[in-house]
Amino acid sequence: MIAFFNVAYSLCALAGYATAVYKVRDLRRDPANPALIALTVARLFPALSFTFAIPAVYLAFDRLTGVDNLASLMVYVLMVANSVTAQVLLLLWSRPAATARAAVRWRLTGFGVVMAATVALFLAASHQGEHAIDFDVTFARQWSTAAFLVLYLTAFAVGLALSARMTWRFSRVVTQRWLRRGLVLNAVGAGLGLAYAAGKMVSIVARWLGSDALDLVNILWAPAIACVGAILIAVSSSLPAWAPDVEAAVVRWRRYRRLEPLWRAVRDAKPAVVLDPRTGRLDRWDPRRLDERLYRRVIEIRDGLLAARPGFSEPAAARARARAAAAGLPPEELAAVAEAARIAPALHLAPRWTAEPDGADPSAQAPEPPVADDADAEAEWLCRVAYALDRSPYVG
Amino acid sequence: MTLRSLRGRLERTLDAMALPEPLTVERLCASLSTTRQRPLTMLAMPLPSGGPCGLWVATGTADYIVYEATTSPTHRTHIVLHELAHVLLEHSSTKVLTDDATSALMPHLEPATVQRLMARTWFDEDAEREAEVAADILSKRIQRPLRGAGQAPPSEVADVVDRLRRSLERR
Repeated sequence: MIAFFNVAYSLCALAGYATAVYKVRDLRRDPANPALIALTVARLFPALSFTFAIPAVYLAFDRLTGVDNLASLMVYVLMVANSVTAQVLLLLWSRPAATARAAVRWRLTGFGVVMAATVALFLAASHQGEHAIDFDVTFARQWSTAAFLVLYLTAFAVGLALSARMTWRFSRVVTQRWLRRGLVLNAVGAGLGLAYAAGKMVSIVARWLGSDALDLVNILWAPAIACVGAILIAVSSSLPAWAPDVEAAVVRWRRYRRLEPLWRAVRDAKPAVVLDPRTGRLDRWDPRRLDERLYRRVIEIRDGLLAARPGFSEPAAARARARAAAAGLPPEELAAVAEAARIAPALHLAPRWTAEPDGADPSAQAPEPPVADDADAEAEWLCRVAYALDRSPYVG
Repeated sequence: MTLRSLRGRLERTLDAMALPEPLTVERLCASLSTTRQRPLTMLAMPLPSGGPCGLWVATGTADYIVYEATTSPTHRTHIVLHELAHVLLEHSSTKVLTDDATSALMPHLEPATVQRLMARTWFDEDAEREAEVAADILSKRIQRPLRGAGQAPPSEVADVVDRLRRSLERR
């Protein structure tokens, strides 16, 4: 179990540090943003707390200071600090900085009092022996340690309950998809933190009543749940920043691939439209250049189609449309099929009859040619035409 | 010169130009017209197939950008950006169209007054490659009309949402 927590707590700490570093990069651009500062600090405290909880670090810290289980005090005080910064963050999200100031000061004073009390209660008792993972259950029946644990769990639970409630509420009003998902993830993570606090509390009460039946909840299950919650919260605060880029890159890559057959046909018919015939292999795989390559592919297809226009066939388009409509293809699929049939003769494409009866591209989104300048809609529309050209039995 | 290094060089050139912010095709035209102290007119028309799909025609007193009217909106914007890139980069060229062809394309112009003419055809000449790569760069920088703008949240929570976005999203 020690080995498990060495790994698990390291991962939790790492997730927190990584998020804090990620946010520091944003802070450099926006240094006077109070919520961003609070968010960065709020991700740092749990990371520090989990660092002291790593059994190897825990024992090393105790040896270094010469005080048995002093690392437990560090873990818990840092978790209280986490709870307070979470509350400050919620205040700075809900109110303008100027009106939040008094409430923030009140929270920080409260933190000072709770921290002083926790330290005093911890030092009031002696905690002999090494108990990196079973500190709570071992000392739960010492009155000052019991008070220490109750104070810690209460302070921790207050912050997480507020965080769960508020981030859930925020998630109901935001319209940005990934921002909403991040807030929901934060609420779920905070909920798991509450489950941790409840599990700890119940198992400590069981010890007071003389039962060790719930020790495993205290030692294994509650901390494991807290770990998952901490990682979810860490991910939730950077997700809205990077997920849209990742999603856009995936969409772009798929469109780039789907345009391949049409682009090849255009290139074979009108080789002069290609700006750079010797695009290097390395360049092709640079994800940062993906949007530039997709745009170029769209423009080259359009240039080629313009040059190939004398070979377009309106009768072929009408025929394909009629055939596809007679075969029961839904109206929104007809435009791409007709366009593919119109351009096919100009690209010298032989009719392709495939066994596949369905002319609809399952991953497609744009049923009609774009009417406004919208590069995404344009690429998506050409993807549909490319698909129909390649697969539709009604073209040709 | 490889395409990549050409792109890098043109990005720096365009950076140094103090283009209007936010950049749109209309604002780029207006700014070029102001700096060149002569009107710049855009003319959309169906151009003969097999010929250029965009032209920059400079007379003694005015600039004309002629572009293919019958292609997709994104392609039209690109063609215009290519021609505007010629103007921005101050490309010069001898007349490549005969007077007859000029008057066929632009009947209201006296062919003799045409001093400069750039046509977007293929990219085998340096100036054409430059303008094309510059158009790629500009296309990434121009602000396009927003599509299906998301509905605005109720005003009392707009500030909260703004603060959430400023700390959770990347701006």
